[in-house]
Amino acid sequence: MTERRNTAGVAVETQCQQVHAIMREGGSVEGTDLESHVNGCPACAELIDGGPTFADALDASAEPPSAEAQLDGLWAEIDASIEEEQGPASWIHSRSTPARVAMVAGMVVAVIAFVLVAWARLDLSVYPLGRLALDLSVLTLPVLVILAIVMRPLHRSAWPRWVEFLALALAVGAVLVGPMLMPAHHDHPASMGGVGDALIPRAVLCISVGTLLGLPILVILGFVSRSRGPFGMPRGLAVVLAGSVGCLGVFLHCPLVEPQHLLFGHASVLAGFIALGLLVASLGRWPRRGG
Amino acid sequence: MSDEELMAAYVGGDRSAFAELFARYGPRLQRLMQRDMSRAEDAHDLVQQTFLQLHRARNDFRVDAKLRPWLFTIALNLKRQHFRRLGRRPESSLDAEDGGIDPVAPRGNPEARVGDVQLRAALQKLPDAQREVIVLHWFEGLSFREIAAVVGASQSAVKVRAHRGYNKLRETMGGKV
Repeated sequence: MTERRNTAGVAVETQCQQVHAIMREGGSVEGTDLESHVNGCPACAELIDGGPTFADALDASAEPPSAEAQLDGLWAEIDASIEEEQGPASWIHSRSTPARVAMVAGMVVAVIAFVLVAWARLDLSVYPLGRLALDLSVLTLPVLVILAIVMRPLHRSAWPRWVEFLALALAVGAVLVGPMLMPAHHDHPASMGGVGDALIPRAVLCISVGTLLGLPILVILGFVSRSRGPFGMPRGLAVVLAGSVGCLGVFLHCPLVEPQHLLFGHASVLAGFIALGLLVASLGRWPRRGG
Repeated sequence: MSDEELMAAYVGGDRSAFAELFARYGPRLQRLMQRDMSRAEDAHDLVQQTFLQLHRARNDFRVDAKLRPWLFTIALNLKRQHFRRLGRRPESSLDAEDGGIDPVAPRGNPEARVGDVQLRAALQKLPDAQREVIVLHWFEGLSFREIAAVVGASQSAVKVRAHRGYNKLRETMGGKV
Protein backbone atom coordinates (compact mmCIF):
# COMPACT_ATOMS: atom_id res chain seq x y z
CA MET A 1 0.00 0.00 0.00
CA THR A 2 1.32 3.43 -0.94
CA GLU A 3 2.25 5.60 2.01
CA ARG A 4 -0.33 8.33 2.40
CA ARG A 5 0.59 11.84 3.39
CA ASN A 6 -1.51 14.64 4.82
CA THR A 7 -1.57 18.28 3.72
CA ALA A 8 1.49 18.98 5.81
CA GLY A 9 3.39 16.29 3.93
CA VAL A 10 3.56 14.10 7.01
CA ALA A 11 2.95 10.39 6.66
CA VAL A 12 -0.47 9.48 7.98
CA GLU A 13 -0.38 7.29 11.04
CA THR A 14 -3.90 6.79 12.31
CA GLN A 15 -7.02 5.37 10.75
CA CYS A 16 -8.65 8.81 10.99
CA GLN A 17 -5.81 10.25 8.97
CA GLN A 18 -6.14 7.46 6.42
CA VAL A 19 -9.83 8.28 6.06
CA HIS A 20 -8.98 11.97 5.60
CA ALA A 21 -6.39 11.12 2.97
CA ILE A 22 -8.87 8.96 1.03
CA MET A 23 -11.47 11.74 1.22
CA ARG A 24 -8.98 14.28 -0.08
CA GLU A 25 -8.23 11.97 -2.99
CA GLY A 26 -11.95 11.61 -3.68
CA GLY A 27 -11.90 7.90 -2.91
CA SER A 28 -14.20 5.72 -0.87
CA VAL A 29 -13.68 3.64 2.25
CA GLU A 30 -16.35 1.14 1.24
CA GLY A 31 -15.01 -2.36 1.15
CA THR A 32 -11.76 -1.37 2.82
CA ASP A 33 -10.57 -2.17 6.32
CA LEU A 34 -11.33 1.46 7.23
CA GLU A 35 -15.07 0.90 6.94
CA SER A 36 -15.28 -0.53 10.45
CA HIS A 37 -13.29 2.43 11.76
CA VAL A 38 -15.74 4.87 10.21
CA ASN A 39 -18.64 2.95 11.76
CA GLY A 40 -17.08 3.43 15.19
CA CYS A 41 -15.78 6.98 14.76
CA PRO A 42 -18.57 9.58 14.76
CA ALA A 43 -16.24 12.33 13.52
CA CYS A 44 -15.08 10.34 10.49
CA ALA A 45 -18.66 9.20 9.84
CA GLU A 46 -19.71 12.84 9.73
CA LEU A 47 -16.92 13.61 7.29
CA ILE A 48 -17.77 10.64 5.09
CA ASP A 49 -21.41 11.77 5.02
CA GLY A 50 -20.21 15.12 3.73
CA GLY A 51 -18.25 13.43 0.99
CA PRO A 52 -15.24 14.68 -0.99
CA THR A 53 -16.93 18.04 -1.55
CA PHE A 54 -16.99 18.61 2.17
CA ALA A 55 -13.33 17.66 2.46
CA ASP A 56 -12.48 20.02 -0.37
CA ALA A 57 -14.53 22.82 1.16
CA LEU A 58 -12.89 22.28 4.53
CA ASP A 59 -9.41 22.48 3.07
CA ALA A 60 -10.25 25.49 0.95
CA SER A 61 -12.02 27.24 3.80
CA ALA A 62 -8.99 27.41 5.99
CA GLU A 63 -6.19 27.27 3.52
CA PRO A 64 -3.63 29.60 5.01
CA PRO A 65 -1.64 32.24 3.24
CA SER A 66 1.74 30.88 2.21
CA ALA A 67 3.04 29.80 5.58
CA GLU A 68 6.55 29.10 4.38
CA ALA A 69 6.93 32.68 3.18
CA GLN A 70 6.03 33.92 6.65
CA LEU A 71 8.79 31.87 8.21
CA ASP A 72 11.63 33.67 6.51
CA GLY A 73 14.13 34.59 9.16
CA LEU A 74 12.10 33.13 12.01
CA TRP A 75 14.56 30.36 12.76
CA ALA A 76 17.38 32.88 12.91
CA GLU A 77 15.37 34.91 15.43
CA ILE A 78 14.63 31.84 17.55
CA ASP A 79 18.24 30.71 17.39
CA ALA A 80 19.41 34.17 18.44
CA SER A 81 16.91 34.27 21.32
CA ILE A 82 18.10 30.87 22.53
CA GLU A 83 21.67 32.08 22.27
CA GLU A 84 20.75 35.06 24.47
CA GLU A 85 19.24 32.77 27.09
CA GLN A 86 22.43 32.34 29.04
CA GLY A 87 23.23 33.06 32.66
CA PRO A 88 21.79 32.07 36.03
CA ALA A 89 18.21 33.26 35.38
CA SER A 90 17.95 31.19 32.20
CA TRP A 91 19.52 28.23 33.94
CA ILE A 92 16.92 28.42 36.72
CA HIS A 93 13.83 28.68 34.54
CA SER A 94 14.99 25.83 32.34
CA ARG A 95 15.16 23.43 35.30
CA SER A 96 12.54 20.69 35.37
CA THR A 97 9.14 21.58 36.79
CA PRO A 98 9.59 19.52 40.00
CA ALA A 99 12.88 21.34 40.61
CA ARG A 100 11.26 24.74 40.02
CA VAL A 101 8.35 23.88 42.30
CA ALA A 102 10.86 22.82 44.96
CA MET A 103 12.64 26.18 44.62
CA VAL A 104 9.43 28.15 45.18
CA ALA A 105 8.23 25.87 47.98
CA GLY A 106 11.67 26.09 49.55
CA MET A 107 11.50 29.88 49.51
CA VAL A 108 8.02 29.82 51.10
CA VAL A 109 9.33 27.52 53.83
CA ALA A 110 12.40 29.73 54.29
CA VAL A 111 10.25 32.86 54.72
CA ILE A 112 7.97 31.15 57.23
CA ALA A 113 10.94 29.63 59.09
CA PHE A 114 12.61 33.04 59.26
CA VAL A 115 9.48 34.58 60.80
CA LEU A 116 9.06 31.75 63.29
CA VAL A 117 12.70 31.77 64.35
CA ALA A 118 13.51 35.45 64.34
CA TRP A 119 10.26 37.36 64.20
CA ALA A 120 7.49 35.20 65.66
CA ARG A 121 4.40 36.76 67.22
CA LEU A 122 4.78 37.24 70.97
CA ASP A 123 1.43 35.72 71.88
CA LEU A 124 1.97 32.26 70.36
CA SER A 125 2.07 30.66 73.81
CA VAL A 126 -1.45 31.89 74.64
CA TYR A 127 -3.03 31.66 71.17
CA PRO A 128 -5.82 29.04 71.31
CA LEU A 129 -4.54 25.95 69.53
CA GLY A 130 -7.76 25.24 67.64
CA ARG A 131 -8.00 28.79 66.37
CA LEU A 132 -4.32 28.76 65.44
CA ALA A 133 -4.87 25.58 63.41
CA LEU A 134 -7.88 27.17 61.70
CA ASP A 135 -6.10 30.44 60.89
CA LEU A 136 -3.01 28.65 59.59
CA SER A 137 -5.05 26.22 57.49
CA VAL A 138 -7.11 28.99 55.95
CA LEU A 139 -4.04 31.08 55.09
CA THR A 140 -1.98 28.13 53.83
CA LEU A 141 -4.63 26.62 51.55
CA PRO A 142 -4.54 29.38 48.88
CA VAL A 143 -0.74 29.27 48.92
CA LEU A 144 -0.80 25.58 48.00
CA VAL A 145 -3.59 25.92 45.45
CA ILE A 146 -2.03 28.90 43.68
CA LEU A 147 1.39 27.28 43.74
CA ALA A 148 -0.08 24.29 41.89
CA ILE A 149 -1.74 26.56 39.33
CA VAL A 150 1.13 28.94 38.60
CA MET A 151 3.73 26.19 38.39
CA ARG A 152 1.73 24.09 35.92
CA PRO A 153 4.00 23.86 32.89
CA LEU A 154 2.84 25.21 29.55
CA HIS A 155 3.13 21.81 27.88
CA ARG A 156 0.27 20.55 30.06
CA SER A 157 -3.24 21.46 29.01
CA ALA A 158 -4.34 24.61 30.81
CA TRP A 159 -6.92 24.51 33.53
CA PRO A 160 -10.13 26.38 32.78
CA ARG A 161 -10.07 30.10 33.47
CA TRP A 162 -12.59 29.76 36.29
CA VAL A 163 -10.06 27.75 38.31
CA GLU A 164 -7.83 30.83 38.40
CA PHE A 165 -10.72 33.04 39.50
CA LEU A 166 -11.64 30.47 42.15
CA ALA A 167 -8.07 30.51 43.46
CA LEU A 168 -8.11 34.31 43.57
CA ALA A 169 -11.41 34.21 45.46
CA LEU A 170 -9.90 31.65 47.82
CA ALA A 171 -6.93 33.92 48.51
CA VAL A 172 -9.17 36.94 49.14
CA GLY A 173 -11.59 34.91 51.26
CA ALA A 174 -8.73 33.50 53.33
CA VAL A 175 -7.51 36.92 54.47
CA LEU A 176 -11.08 37.99 55.28
CA VAL A 177 -11.78 35.04 57.60
CA GLY A 178 -9.69 36.49 60.46
CA PRO A 179 -11.34 39.93 60.44
CA MET A 180 -14.77 38.32 60.35
CA LEU A 181 -14.20 36.19 63.45
CA MET A 182 -14.05 37.27 67.07
CA PRO A 183 -10.56 38.16 68.33
CA ALA A 184 -8.70 34.93 69.05
CA HIS A 185 -7.89 35.99 72.61
CA HIS A 186 -7.21 38.94 74.90
CA ASP A 187 -4.66 37.18 77.05
CA HIS A 188 -1.43 38.90 76.05
CA PRO A 189 -0.50 42.57 76.41
CA ALA A 190 1.18 42.56 72.98
CA SER A 191 -2.14 41.65 71.38
CA MET A 192 -3.90 44.76 72.65
CA GLY A 193 -4.21 47.90 70.56
CA GLY A 194 -3.91 48.48 66.88
CA VAL A 195 -7.27 50.26 66.79
CA GLY A 196 -8.40 53.84 67.21
CA ASP A 197 -5.52 56.29 66.80
CA ALA A 198 -3.08 53.39 66.43
CA LEU A 199 -5.03 51.79 63.59
CA ILE A 200 -3.25 53.43 60.69
CA PRO A 201 0.33 53.47 62.06
CA ARG A 202 0.14 49.81 63.13
CA ALA A 203 -1.59 48.83 59.88
CA VAL A 204 1.13 50.53 57.85
CA LEU A 205 3.76 48.64 59.81
CA CYS A 206 2.09 45.31 59.13
CA ILE A 207 1.56 46.12 55.47
CA SER A 208 5.28 46.88 55.24
CA VAL A 209 6.23 43.64 57.01
CA GLY A 210 3.84 41.55 54.88
CA THR A 211 5.08 43.15 51.68
CA LEU A 212 8.66 42.55 52.71
CA LEU A 213 7.93 38.90 53.40
CA GLY A 214 6.13 38.50 50.06
CA LEU A 215 8.93 40.02 48.01
CA PRO A 216 11.31 37.01 48.14
CA ILE A 217 8.50 34.90 46.71
CA LEU A 218 7.98 37.43 43.95
CA VAL A 219 11.69 37.34 43.16
CA ILE A 220 11.97 33.55 43.05
CA LEU A 221 8.81 33.33 40.94
CA GLY A 222 10.37 35.84 38.56
CA PHE A 223 13.37 33.54 38.20
CA VAL A 224 11.53 30.23 37.81
CA SER A 225 8.77 31.54 35.51
CA ARG A 226 9.26 30.58 31.88
CA SER A 227 6.91 33.30 30.75
CA ARG A 228 7.41 36.60 32.50
CA GLY A 229 5.70 39.94 32.24
CA PRO A 230 7.17 43.43 31.97
CA PHE A 231 10.41 44.00 33.93
CA GLY A 232 10.81 40.24 34.37
CA MET A 233 7.82 40.18 36.74
CA PRO A 234 5.84 36.98 37.19
CA ARG A 235 2.32 37.23 35.82
CA GLY A 236 -1.16 37.09 37.31
CA LEU A 237 -1.73 34.63 40.09
CA ALA A 238 1.99 34.35 40.76
CA VAL A 239 1.85 37.87 42.17
CA VAL A 240 -1.15 36.86 44.28
CA LEU A 241 0.85 33.90 45.59
CA ALA A 242 3.50 36.30 46.89
CA GLY A 243 0.75 38.31 48.59
CA SER A 244 -0.73 35.20 50.21
CA VAL A 245 2.67 34.23 51.60
CA GLY A 246 3.08 37.80 52.85
CA CYS A 247 -0.25 37.51 54.67
CA LEU A 248 0.75 34.16 56.18
CA GLY A 249 4.06 35.66 57.27
CA VAL A 250 2.52 38.73 58.85
CA PHE A 251 0.00 36.55 60.71
CA LEU A 252 2.88 34.61 62.25
CA HIS A 253 4.64 37.86 63.13
CA CYS A 254 2.00 40.31 64.37
CA PRO A 255 0.34 39.59 67.74
CA LEU A 256 -2.54 42.04 67.26
CA VAL A 257 -5.91 40.31 67.14
CA GLU A 258 -8.48 43.06 66.63
CA PRO A 259 -10.57 42.50 63.45
CA GLN A 260 -10.06 46.11 62.31
CA HIS A 261 -6.29 45.68 62.39
CA LEU A 262 -6.47 42.31 60.66
CA LEU A 263 -8.50 43.91 57.87
CA PHE A 264 -6.47 47.06 57.34
CA GLY A 265 -3.05 45.75 58.35
CA HIS A 266 -3.04 42.13 57.18
CA ALA A 267 -5.61 41.75 54.41
CA SER A 268 -4.27 44.93 52.78
CA VAL A 269 -1.00 43.12 52.09
CA LEU A 270 -2.83 40.89 49.62
CA ALA A 271 -4.72 43.87 48.20
CA GLY A 272 -1.38 45.54 47.46
CA PHE A 273 -0.05 42.51 45.62
CA ILE A 274 -3.30 42.11 43.67
CA ALA A 275 -2.98 45.76 42.61
CA LEU A 276 0.59 45.03 41.51
CA GLY A 277 -0.63 42.00 39.55
CA LEU A 278 -3.23 44.12 37.78
CA LEU A 279 -0.58 46.69 36.95
CA VAL A 280 1.68 44.00 35.47
CA ALA A 281 -1.25 42.64 33.46
CA SER A 282 -2.15 46.07 32.09
CA LEU A 283 1.47 46.78 31.15
CA GLY A 284 1.57 43.39 29.41
CA ARG A 285 -1.31 44.51 27.17
CA TRP A 286 0.75 47.32 25.69
CA PRO A 287 1.79 46.55 22.17
CA ARG A 288 5.35 45.40 21.93
CA ARG A 289 7.74 47.28 19.73
CA GLY A 290 10.40 45.78 17.56
CA GLY A 291 9.13 42.20 18.00
CA MET B 1 14.98 10.33 13.33
CA SER B 2 11.73 10.59 15.24
CA ASP B 3 10.61 13.82 16.88
CA GLU B 4 11.34 12.32 20.27
CA GLU B 5 14.86 11.29 19.24
CA LEU B 6 15.49 14.78 17.94
CA MET B 7 14.28 16.33 21.18
CA ALA B 8 16.41 13.93 23.21
CA ALA B 9 19.39 14.89 21.06
CA TYR B 10 18.65 18.58 21.67
CA VAL B 11 18.42 18.04 25.42
CA GLY B 12 21.79 16.34 25.06
CA GLY B 13 23.23 19.49 23.47
CA ASP B 14 22.73 18.99 19.72
CA ARG B 15 21.54 22.40 18.44
CA SER B 16 20.96 21.12 14.92
CA ALA B 17 18.28 18.75 16.27
CA PHE B 18 16.22 21.75 17.33
CA ALA B 19 16.62 23.31 13.89
CA GLU B 20 15.27 20.08 12.41
CA LEU B 21 12.28 20.21 14.77
CA PHE B 22 11.64 23.77 13.67
CA ALA B 23 11.82 22.70 10.03
CA ARG B 24 9.25 19.99 10.71
CA TYR B 25 6.84 21.97 12.83
CA GLY B 26 7.46 25.67 12.13
CA PRO B 27 5.21 25.83 9.04
CA ARG B 28 2.48 23.77 10.73
CA LEU B 29 2.48 25.98 13.80
CA GLN B 30 2.50 29.09 11.66
CA ARG B 31 -0.62 27.81 9.91
CA LEU B 32 -2.20 26.90 13.24
CA MET B 33 -1.61 30.38 14.61
CA GLN B 34 -2.46 32.26 11.45
CA ARG B 35 -5.77 30.48 11.05
CA ASP B 36 -7.28 32.65 13.79
CA MET B 37 -5.27 35.83 13.40
CA SER B 38 -5.50 38.76 11.10
CA ARG B 39 -1.96 39.96 11.75
CA ALA B 40 0.89 37.83 10.44
CA GLU B 41 3.24 39.40 12.99
CA ASP B 42 1.17 38.00 15.87
CA ALA B 43 1.24 34.50 14.41
CA HIS B 44 4.96 34.84 13.77
CA ASP B 45 5.52 35.97 17.35
CA LEU B 46 3.52 33.09 18.80
CA VAL B 47 5.43 30.51 16.76
CA GLN B 48 8.65 32.03 18.04
CA GLN B 49 7.36 31.90 21.62
CA THR B 50 6.26 28.29 21.16
CA PHE B 51 9.76 27.20 20.23
CA LEU B 52 11.31 29.31 22.98
CA GLN B 53 8.96 27.70 25.49
CA LEU B 54 9.87 24.28 24.12
CA HIS B 55 13.52 25.17 24.59
CA ARG B 56 12.89 26.35 28.17
CA ALA B 57 10.89 23.22 28.99
CA ARG B 58 13.50 20.87 27.50
CA ASN B 59 14.45 19.45 30.89
CA ASP B 60 10.84 18.45 31.49
CA PHE B 61 10.85 16.26 28.40
CA ARG B 62 10.74 12.54 29.10
CA VAL B 63 12.07 10.12 26.53
CA ASP B 64 8.89 8.04 26.72
CA ALA B 65 6.65 11.06 25.99
CA LYS B 66 5.37 12.07 22.57
CA LEU B 67 6.68 15.43 21.42
CA ARG B 68 3.87 16.44 19.09
CA PRO B 69 1.14 16.79 21.75
CA TRP B 70 3.67 18.69 23.87
CA LEU B 71 4.37 21.16 21.12
CA PHE B 72 0.74 21.68 20.16
CA THR B 73 -0.27 22.09 23.81
CA ILE B 74 2.32 24.84 24.24
CA ALA B 75 1.17 26.47 21.01
CA LEU B 76 -2.52 26.40 21.90
CA ASN B 77 -1.88 27.62 25.46
CA LEU B 78 0.11 30.55 24.09
CA LYS B 79 -2.60 31.27 21.57
CA ARG B 80 -5.28 31.28 24.27
CA GLN B 81 -3.14 33.54 26.46
CA HIS B 82 -2.67 35.87 23.51
CA PHE B 83 -6.41 36.26 22.95
CA ARG B 84 -7.06 36.47 26.68
CA ARG B 85 -4.56 39.30 26.93
CA LEU B 86 -6.26 41.06 24.04
CA GLY B 87 -9.61 40.37 25.66
CA ARG B 88 -11.26 38.90 22.60
CA ARG B 89 -12.01 35.70 20.73
CA PRO B 90 -9.89 34.32 17.91
CA GLU B 91 -10.49 36.21 14.73
CA SER B 92 -10.79 35.15 11.14
CA SER B 93 -8.33 36.24 8.51
CA LEU B 94 -11.51 37.46 6.83
CA ASP B 95 -11.38 40.24 9.40
CA ALA B 96 -8.00 41.36 8.14
CA GLU B 97 -7.50 45.06 8.32
CA ASP B 98 -5.12 47.23 6.40
CA GLY B 99 -1.64 45.97 6.92
CA GLY B 100 -2.85 42.50 7.85
CA ILE B 101 -2.86 39.35 5.82
CA ASP B 102 -4.94 39.40 2.72
CA PRO B 103 -7.92 37.13 3.00
CA VAL B 104 -7.23 33.71 1.62
CA ALA B 105 -8.28 33.24 -1.94
CA PRO B 106 -10.11 29.93 -1.98
CA ARG B 107 -9.84 27.65 -4.95
CA GLY B 108 -12.43 27.05 -7.59
CA ASN B 109 -15.20 28.99 -9.24
CA PRO B 110 -17.00 32.01 -7.70
CA GLU B 111 -19.86 29.84 -6.37
CA ALA B 112 -17.44 27.53 -4.65
CA ARG B 113 -15.60 30.56 -3.33
CA VAL B 114 -18.76 31.84 -1.65
CA GLY B 115 -19.22 28.41 -0.07
CA ASP B 116 -15.62 28.37 1.13
CA VAL B 117 -16.00 31.78 2.69
CA GLN B 118 -19.22 30.66 4.37
CA LEU B 119 -17.53 27.59 5.75
CA ARG B 120 -14.54 29.59 6.93
CA ALA B 121 -16.88 31.97 8.74
CA ALA B 122 -18.74 28.98 10.17
CA LEU B 123 -15.47 27.52 11.41
CA GLN B 124 -14.74 30.76 13.22
CA LYS B 125 -18.19 30.76 14.78
CA LEU B 126 -17.82 27.29 16.26
CA PRO B 127 -17.25 27.17 20.01
CA ASP B 128 -13.50 27.30 20.76
CA ALA B 129 -13.52 23.73 22.10
CA GLN B 130 -15.00 22.34 18.86
CA ARG B 131 -12.93 24.49 16.53
CA GLU B 132 -9.68 23.52 18.23
CA VAL B 133 -10.50 19.83 17.93
CA ILE B 134 -11.42 20.13 14.23
CA VAL B 135 -8.31 22.12 13.43
CA LEU B 136 -6.12 19.55 15.17
CA HIS B 137 -8.02 16.56 13.72
CA TRP B 138 -8.58 17.59 10.12
CA PHE B 139 -5.95 20.19 9.36
CA GLU B 140 -3.08 19.05 11.56
CA GLY B 141 -3.76 15.33 11.42
CA LEU B 142 -3.43 14.62 15.12
CA SER B 143 -4.97 11.45 16.49
CA PHE B 144 -7.78 11.70 19.01
CA ARG B 145 -5.41 10.45 21.67
CA GLU B 146 -3.03 13.30 20.90
CA ILE B 147 -5.85 15.82 20.72
CA ALA B 148 -7.14 14.62 24.09
CA ALA B 149 -3.70 15.24 25.56
CA VAL B 150 -3.47 18.68 23.94
CA VAL B 151 -6.85 19.99 25.06
CA GLY B 152 -6.93 18.16 28.40
CA ALA B 153 -10.09 16.14 27.81
CA SER B 154 -10.94 12.48 27.39
CA GLN B 155 -10.76 10.83 23.97
CA SER B 156 -14.51 10.28 23.95
CA ALA B 157 -15.08 13.95 24.75
CA VAL B 158 -12.93 15.16 21.88
CA LYS B 159 -14.60 12.70 19.51
CA VAL B 160 -17.97 14.13 20.47
CA ARG B 161 -16.68 17.68 19.98
CA ALA B 162 -15.34 16.75 16.54
CA HIS B 163 -18.59 15.07 15.55
CA ARG B 164 -20.67 18.07 16.64
CA GLY B 165 -18.31 20.52 15.00
CA TYR B 166 -18.26 18.70 11.64
CA ASN B 167 -22.01 18.36 11.86
CA LYS B 168 -22.47 22.12 12.32
CA LEU B 169 -20.12 22.84 9.43
CA ARG B 170 -22.04 20.49 7.17
CA GLU B 171 -25.30 22.15 8.20
CA THR B 172 -23.76 25.52 7.37
CA MET B 173 -22.93 24.29 3.91
CA GLY B 174 -26.48 22.97 3.51
CA GLY B 175 -27.02 21.33 0.17
CA LYS B 176 -23.58 22.26 -1.07
CA VAL B 177 -22.01 19.13 0.37
